Amino acid sequence: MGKTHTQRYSQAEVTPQALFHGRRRIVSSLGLALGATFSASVFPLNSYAVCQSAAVFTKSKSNFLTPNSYQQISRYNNYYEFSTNKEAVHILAQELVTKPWTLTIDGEVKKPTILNVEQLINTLSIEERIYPLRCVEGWSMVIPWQGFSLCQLLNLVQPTSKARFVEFISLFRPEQMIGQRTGALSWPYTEALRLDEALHPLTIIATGMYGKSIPAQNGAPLRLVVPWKYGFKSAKAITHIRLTAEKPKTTWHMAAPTEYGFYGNVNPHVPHPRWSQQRENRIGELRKKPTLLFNGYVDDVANLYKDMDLSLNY
Amino acid sequence: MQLISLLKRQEKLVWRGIWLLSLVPALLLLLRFYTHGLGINPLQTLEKTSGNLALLFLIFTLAVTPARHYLTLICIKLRCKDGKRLADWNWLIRSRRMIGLYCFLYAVIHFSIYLFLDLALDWQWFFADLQEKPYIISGLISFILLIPLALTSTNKMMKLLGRNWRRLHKLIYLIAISAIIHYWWLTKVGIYDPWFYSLLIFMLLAYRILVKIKLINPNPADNGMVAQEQVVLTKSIEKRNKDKSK
Repeated sequence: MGKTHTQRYSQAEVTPQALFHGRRRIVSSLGLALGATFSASVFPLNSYAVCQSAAVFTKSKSNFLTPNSYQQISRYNNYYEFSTNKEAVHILAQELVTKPWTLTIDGEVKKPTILNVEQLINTLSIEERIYPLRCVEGWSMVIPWQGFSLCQLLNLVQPTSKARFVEFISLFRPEQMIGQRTGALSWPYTEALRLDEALHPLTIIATGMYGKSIPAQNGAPLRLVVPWKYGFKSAKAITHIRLTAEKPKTTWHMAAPTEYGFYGNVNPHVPHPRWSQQRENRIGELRKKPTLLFNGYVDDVANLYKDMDLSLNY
Repeated sequence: MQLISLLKRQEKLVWRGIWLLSLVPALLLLLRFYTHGLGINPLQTLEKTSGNLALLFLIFTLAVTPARHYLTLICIKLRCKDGKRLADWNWLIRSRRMIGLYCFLYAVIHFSIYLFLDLALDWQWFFADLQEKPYIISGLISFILLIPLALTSTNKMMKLLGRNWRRLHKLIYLIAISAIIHYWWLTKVGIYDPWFYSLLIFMLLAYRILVKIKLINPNPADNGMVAQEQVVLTKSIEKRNKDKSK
């Protein structure tokens, strides 16, 4: 199991839930054991890129990482596939059947692959990452995820030299996702990252939360997590990953291009017409607090955008 | 139809009832706050609920004049014993000031939540909001314009301002429009909550326009001010009598 930078924080800061730690040990040992056997046999490691451990990355602000409670995280969800009412999603999402679930990876890859989730979880090493999630709407949470780095997954399929973007396509199943019966957004939900963003060690696909398998309302069974970007970039219930040469069209950007850019980087200096991006409402706190550039990950990701005007590429 | 005459006769009691009833949402909000009943995001619930309440009470104040008019018409149609005259519904007019002040109270609560919790009293954030967010400006316009209306709501001020009092209080129409724009501007794609309030305010303002262009005739002899002026008059007579008896 790869060491994560978040393990630098003391246990007390992480979570008081004993269950969480107990389960975590099981998950990680399973991941280690099965990962060793599967990655050698099923997927020979002709690595496209060496996936860096996130341990080499530093984080400027450690004191803002006290995780929110399981209840807060699992009962306040922006998930238009079910409802625009964040506190109704956790009820409606119980309809979603996530087993069996297959993930298709194709496009600009040498080895297009269809995998089932159990296979993925058993093959790739599962790490714990405690990340702040900043929603574009001005609220935030700290969430203890379990998942694998997206880099590991992309290594399995080996992107070609033409690949420049990674597109994530979420489930379209209106019979179980009641919100998809309306045209609130264009379905299926689609998000994308630049390849270098996707390979960044901070970028993960979450499969668990608080040591349990990830709840449906949080994006089960596979949910992208990119901690320096607004939450809308983190596609939920991913069924299809496509590597492309051209920049993919993304859902929120298509819905309101002036409000939601392709990058969606957390940036207090780029205003939004409705929500203040200079401050955020950490769930569980009554007063707002300042939002940090790249959600606090400046040292880790600023070099990805060093020649870009972030006020234009928002 | 005993109720209508009862409401009319027990005006003092009715007034107190409305006073108490209007306070209930504020008390409920307080109760929910202390019992952690505001959901996962209490700040947002507080902001949204207080804003909705301010708007609702604004709608109630605007509804008094047409309600009085149409209740009279309904009573005439139904041949009720009471309620066929506008004056039978004067207690509505005499409760309007209180309802308007409740609108102001909920607006003050709404603004205070923004100031103390959302802005955390950071003036830099406030000026950034003013520059970036049109909805803050329209909300602020509504709030600022409500202040002179609340301050001049007393009988004394009514007497002092004379004809200008009515002119000043016509600002309520502007406040209503600005508040609705505020709501739409802060609402994201796919949320339709402002529709309810918009339709009501649209109807209430349309009523005024239709009266103005004489498509509706709400008994021109009594425009509601008579009832309000009656209060002023009675109060001053009472006061004079008191002074005399001393």
